[in-house]
Amino acid sequence: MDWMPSPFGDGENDPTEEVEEDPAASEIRQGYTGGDTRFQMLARVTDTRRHVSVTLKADLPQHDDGTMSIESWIPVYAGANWHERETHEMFGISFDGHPDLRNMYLPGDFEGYPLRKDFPLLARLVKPWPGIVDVEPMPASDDDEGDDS
Amino acid sequence: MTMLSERQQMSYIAAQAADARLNVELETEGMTLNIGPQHPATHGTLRIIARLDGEQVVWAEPSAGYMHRGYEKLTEVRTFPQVTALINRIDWLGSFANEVPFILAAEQLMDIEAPPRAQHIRTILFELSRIANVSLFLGDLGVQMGAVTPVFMAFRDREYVLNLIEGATGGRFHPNFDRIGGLKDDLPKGWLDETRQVMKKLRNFCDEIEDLLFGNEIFQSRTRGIGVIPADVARQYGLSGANLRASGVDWDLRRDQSLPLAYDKVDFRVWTHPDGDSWARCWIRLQEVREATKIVDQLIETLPPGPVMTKVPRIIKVPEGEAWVSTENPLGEMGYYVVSKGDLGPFRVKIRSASFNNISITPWVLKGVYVPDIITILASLYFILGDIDR
Repeated sequence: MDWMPSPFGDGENDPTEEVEEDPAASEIRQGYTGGDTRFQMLARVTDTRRHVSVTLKADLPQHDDGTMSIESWIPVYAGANWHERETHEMFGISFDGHPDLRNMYLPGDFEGYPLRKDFPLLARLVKPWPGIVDVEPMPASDDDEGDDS
Repeated sequence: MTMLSERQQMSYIAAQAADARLNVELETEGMTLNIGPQHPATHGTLRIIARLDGEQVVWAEPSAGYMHRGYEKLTEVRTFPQVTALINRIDWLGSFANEVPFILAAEQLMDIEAPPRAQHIRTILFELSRIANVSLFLGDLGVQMGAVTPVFMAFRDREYVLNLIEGATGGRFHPNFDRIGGLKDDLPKGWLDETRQVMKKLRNFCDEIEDLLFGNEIFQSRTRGIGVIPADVARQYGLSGANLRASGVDWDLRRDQSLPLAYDKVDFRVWTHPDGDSWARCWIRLQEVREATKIVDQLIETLPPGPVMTKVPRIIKVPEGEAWVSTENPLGEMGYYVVSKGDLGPFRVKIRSASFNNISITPWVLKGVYVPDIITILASLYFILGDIDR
C-alpha cells in the first residue's frame, strides 16, 4: 500500500490507528467512507501551520494466514512508533519497516489481540454488567437523562 | 624553577591524569540504570531503562504498561453516559477536561449542542481543572530538584481550586459532571464570588512560584539549555500542549479550532517560547495558569442566563457515525475518535491522550544527557501515567 505522507508533510501525527469490524460477521459497515475489508487503518494528521487536520483511512486485506501488514510511518513521523506498537499488540497488525514491535502494555507472552471484536472481555462474560439497569426506563422525571452512576 | 600557582598546578595534574587515562585506554563497561516503576518523578508507575556510559545516557527507553486498564475495550461495553465515569480516570489531575471532548464528540454525532450557559460553565470547569493540574506540576517541579517548599504551596492553593470543583460538581477528583446535551446541574449560589477570590489567590501563587522557583539560580542552571527539543522534532513526535509551544510552535486548540466551548468569547494569549528546553516548558505552563485564571475571570463576568441542559431523550442512543473531537487539555491535545453504530454504547473509542505522544519522545531527548537531568527533563515534559497507559 502506498501511504504517501500526506501533503501536510510537516504536520504532527495524531492518534494513529483505529480499526473496525463487526462481531457477528453479519454485516460489516465501515462508516462514512466505506471500504471492503474487516480491518481498516485510520490515521489522523494535523498541520500546525495551516490548521488543517485530515483523517486517513485505508483498507487492510488479510493475507492467507490471517495476518495483516501495512507500511510503517516512522520514516515520516517518528511519533508513529508507539502508536504502531500499540496497534500491533492490540489488533495484530504488523508494520513493515518498524524497528521494534515489542508489546507496550501487555506481557510479552500474551496471546490474542485484545481490541479485536472477537476477543472476549472476560470480566463481562463471568458477571453481567450491573450498570445495565441504568438504561432501563425508570420512574424518574422526564428531563432526567437517566444516568447518575 | 618556575613557580606555579596552586591553580595552575591543579590543572597540570588534572591534564596529566587525563593523558594517563587516554594512554591506558581503560576498558569501560556500560551500566544499565532502572528508574522506577515507583519514582516520585513518574506520577504513577513508569519505568525508564537507561544505559549509561559514565554519567551520560547513551540509550533510554520508557517502559509503560504498569497501569494499563484497557479503557478502549471497556468503553465498548458501556453506554454513552457511563463512559464519562471511566474516562475521568485517564488524566486524574484534570478529570473534567477528559470528559469534555468525549461528550462533544457524542453531541456532534447526535447533532445537538449544549445551551450557551452550559458551554460557559464547561469552559470554566475546563480551565479550573487545568489550573488544578498545572499548579500541582509547578509545585512538583521543585521537588524534582530538591526544593520542598513549592509543593506545599501548590497543594495549599490547588486545594482552593479543588474546593471550587467540588462545590460545583460534587467530586473533587472525578466530577463526572458533563452530560450529553449539557451539564448535570447549574452552579451553586455564591460560587462565582468565591471563584473570583480564588483566581486572585492563584495569581498570587503564580507570582510566588515565579519568585521562589523560577528566579532560583539552581533551578535555572538545572533547566536552562537542558533537554532541548527543536520545533521540527517536536512536530515529528506529535508533541502537543505546552511541550509543543515551548519549542516555538504556535498551536493551541483552544484558539485554533472552533468547538461549542466559550473560548471564542474570551481574550487570552497563547504563549510560546523559542528555546525548547526544560526551562521553556516550565515557564510556558506557569504562564498558562495565569492565562487560565484570566479566562475564568472573563467567563464569570459574561456568564449568560438560561438552562444548562437541552432536551435529550432519557435513553441516549447515538446515531451511526464517526466523530473526532480533540481539545487542549492540561497535558496537551486529547482527542476521542468515537464510532457509533446507533446503539446505546459506542462501537469503538480511540483515545488519543497527550502524554502518550509527549513521552514517546523520551528515547530521543534523553540521549546524551546526564543522569540527574533525566529527572528534570521528565518532570518538565510532564506526564500523568493514566494518560499514557489508559
